[in-house]
Amino acid sequence: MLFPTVAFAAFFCVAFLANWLLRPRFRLWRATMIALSLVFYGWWDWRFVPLLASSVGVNQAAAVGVHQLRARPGAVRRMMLLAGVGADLGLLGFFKYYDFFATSTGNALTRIGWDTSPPVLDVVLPIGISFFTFQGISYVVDVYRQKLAPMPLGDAAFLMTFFPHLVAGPIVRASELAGQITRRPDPRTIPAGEAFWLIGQGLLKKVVISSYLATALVDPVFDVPGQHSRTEVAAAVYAYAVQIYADFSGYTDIAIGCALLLGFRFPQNFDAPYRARSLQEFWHRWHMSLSRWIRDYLYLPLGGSRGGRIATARNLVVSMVLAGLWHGAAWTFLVWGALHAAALVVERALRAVWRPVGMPPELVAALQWFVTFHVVCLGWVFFRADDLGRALELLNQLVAGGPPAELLTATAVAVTVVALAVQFVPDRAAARARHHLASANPLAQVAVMASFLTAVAAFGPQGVAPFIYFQF
Amino acid sequence: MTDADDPAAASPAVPDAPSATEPEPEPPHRLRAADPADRRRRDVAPAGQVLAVMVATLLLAAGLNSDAMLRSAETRPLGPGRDLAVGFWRPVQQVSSRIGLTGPRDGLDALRRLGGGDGNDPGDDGESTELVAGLAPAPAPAGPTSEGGGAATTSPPPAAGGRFPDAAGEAGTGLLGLDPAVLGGTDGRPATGPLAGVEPQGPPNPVTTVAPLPTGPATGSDTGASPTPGNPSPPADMLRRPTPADPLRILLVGDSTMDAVGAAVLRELEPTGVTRAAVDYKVSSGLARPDFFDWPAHLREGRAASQVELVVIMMGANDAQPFMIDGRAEDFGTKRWLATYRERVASLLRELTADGGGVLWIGQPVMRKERFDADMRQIDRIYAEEVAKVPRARYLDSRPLLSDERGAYATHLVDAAGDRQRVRQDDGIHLTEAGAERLAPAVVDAINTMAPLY
Repeated sequence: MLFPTVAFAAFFCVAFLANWLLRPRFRLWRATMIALSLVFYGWWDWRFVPLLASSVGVNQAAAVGVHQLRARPGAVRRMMLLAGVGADLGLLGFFKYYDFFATSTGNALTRIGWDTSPPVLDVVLPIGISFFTFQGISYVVDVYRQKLAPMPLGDAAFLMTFFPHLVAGPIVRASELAGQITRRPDPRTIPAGEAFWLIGQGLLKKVVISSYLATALVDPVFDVPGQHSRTEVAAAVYAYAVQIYADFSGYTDIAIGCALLLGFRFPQNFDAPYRARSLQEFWHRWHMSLSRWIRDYLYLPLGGSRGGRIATARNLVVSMVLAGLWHGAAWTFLVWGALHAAALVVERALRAVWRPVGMPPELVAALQWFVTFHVVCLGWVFFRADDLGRALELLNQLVAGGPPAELLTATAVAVTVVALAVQFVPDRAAARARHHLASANPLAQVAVMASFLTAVAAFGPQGVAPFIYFQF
Repeated sequence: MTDADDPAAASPAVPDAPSATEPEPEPPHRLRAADPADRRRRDVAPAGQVLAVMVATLLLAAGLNSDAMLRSAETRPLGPGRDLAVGFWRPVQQVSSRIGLTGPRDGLDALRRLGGGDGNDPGDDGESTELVAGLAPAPAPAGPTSEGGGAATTSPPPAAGGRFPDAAGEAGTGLLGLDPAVLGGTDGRPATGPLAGVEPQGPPNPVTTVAPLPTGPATGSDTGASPTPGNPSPPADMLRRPTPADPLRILLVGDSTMDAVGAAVLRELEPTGVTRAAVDYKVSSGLARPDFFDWPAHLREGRAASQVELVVIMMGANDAQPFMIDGRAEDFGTKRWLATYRERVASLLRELTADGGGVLWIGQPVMRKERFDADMRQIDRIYAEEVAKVPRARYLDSRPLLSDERGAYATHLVDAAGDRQRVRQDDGIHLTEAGAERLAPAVVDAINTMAPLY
């Protein structure tokens, strides 16, 4: 079930009612919510429901195992941990990377004269597998690190399947949600204003802005870069920066809003990322739940920044390249990750030596912002391009130029510019508007929100674009 | 853990998400307090009120949007699902329009059309003329004529990112559930007629070798003035020889399959320097349900506005569904169904070629589901046979290009360089980028037999 559909709206009303009516009867509530989440997931393809269920089972078994062995020598516990994490990664690896691996290896073998290739299995990628796998890993590792005791199976199942975050995050950790499961929220104090605001903002970003820019500018240019002018290509690159932000952050806004209405607060996932003045800051503002995951379960275990300049650089590269590949099995994602890693390394080195003496601080800030934003946009070119060749062709077109710009309409430019500019608006303005909505008369709320939905429906495309991040 | 979810609050709001350091979870029945900042600002509401507001909002929104909802319900594939949807939305729409609720949305739709937005209401062709604007003849002398016609698309493509079209398998599900005919809706339909195993082989029209053709009007000032097809000498089965100054204007149309295929063909055409091409596809469309999207009407207007000389068509994957004949639902594959469909294909072909224009019809590739593939063979045969009856039309059989050495469905195929590539998407219907690129050179070759590009 996609969020911006009538089916989901109806489903959510049922879930809302069930959630608050059954909340006092904990076990019944938990079982019902798990069942509803499975319905939500099975809506795409019921055959993946057992896969999700077995992922829950494996992680729970590993967490309990690691916990029970806590008195035993470290090596035994580590074996248990590796078995659990290995099972998670094996599942992810099979569904997400097997065919890529099989074709790449087969093609490489053929080239060197071996005419055998591993069988290709036509694996279908289950929705959201990257997200629930990472969640499972964080659960098992946190138990291993004794930050957390294993949850009861029912709680673990609830946590991993909870439908607002199930298919596209934020990547919610057990430690962030465990207490919220067992402690019943007060049904009289639902932060509805904030939730409605988030859902509305998410719909606008995802259904209107993201879809519009994709159709009007981004897809045509990225499909056939050679047909477009320099200005058009540049505009499409900026527009894609807006599109992917609007698409992804819009979806998590809706997820966070829905969870709030059900009495759960998810961690924030985006914080005006294009305001960042360094790559490091960008990663503190972009897909924050993934950045934190990479930091805590990959970068820091590798040694983080403790081992000197070379070791730090190596850890950054490994982390970012793997983060790139997490998005999909393609060379373009690898280049995207490597580019970010290189920029992060260079940035660290520069920070150690560069002292902007004699420059006004505003100019320094503007310069830092400008460079950061353009490195991010360069990364997005690879992220979006269908293959490396197309990405290079597009970058070449940026220099070489082409025929006059026909796609560059005032609307497309305005949407891109406004969407970027909004990131610099202080949060206070939004908070005030949100407060007005929250404290308004319920009838006024209904009128405002229904009109808003109508406008979104009128200006959105007829077919909702599938969410980019489902595949990651 | 992030902090300060709401920097506007006097003190940083403390999200009540407990952290790992929290003491042992308390028993389930204890109530958790609301976010203190929220409570202070009275930005909270009781569950009953929230539910009432949500339901009232959805009901009001349903009324406000009921015109569009009813329209999309009516255009769903015939069957119980459609009956249910229509049965629900019709009364809603009637009541809403009586009390004037549908007005605002109509106003917004008009506004959107006015603003040149890519209106895509089923059956609403008012804006079609500007959709293929990229194909309009080059603005006489000034414009370098090789400029590409932007890839104008009628309907927003299914994938916002464009990377993974149809990724979620719900490409057909509209905003707020506006649910057009779902592609490949092969389920729940009686098995279809005899599959004679007839595989349309090759272009039924003998591929004429390139005859000496007059080049287009002399380069320079009179571009766009006289390239009307039907110039003195090209044989009846040919278009003309395009030149950089007077490129061939090509429109690629179809259903969602045309998303990837269209882009690949544009890339393949670009180096020839003698074409201006645009893609105009509509998700879930075809010839079976003109009430959902009326291609003949849409093309009539689009061609009139932009002097398209060649239309490349790839559709049919949505057409294995029943439609109404004389007020009765006719199942796919019956005699009456096939005869009616054949007449639609024939009439479209006649119309597109009557004024000297050309048509290239791309047949469906082999499909993963056997029954669906049999359906596609049936309609492919209709395309091939009808194409053979009109001049300046070619049929391109895509099967040989997109099946394995035994002619069977394959998700992966080995390309010319010896590399194995994934050519089909997860649904077993759509082509991947690599699949489309496999097909594109054959499309350009076929165009070349009608209008020499090299």
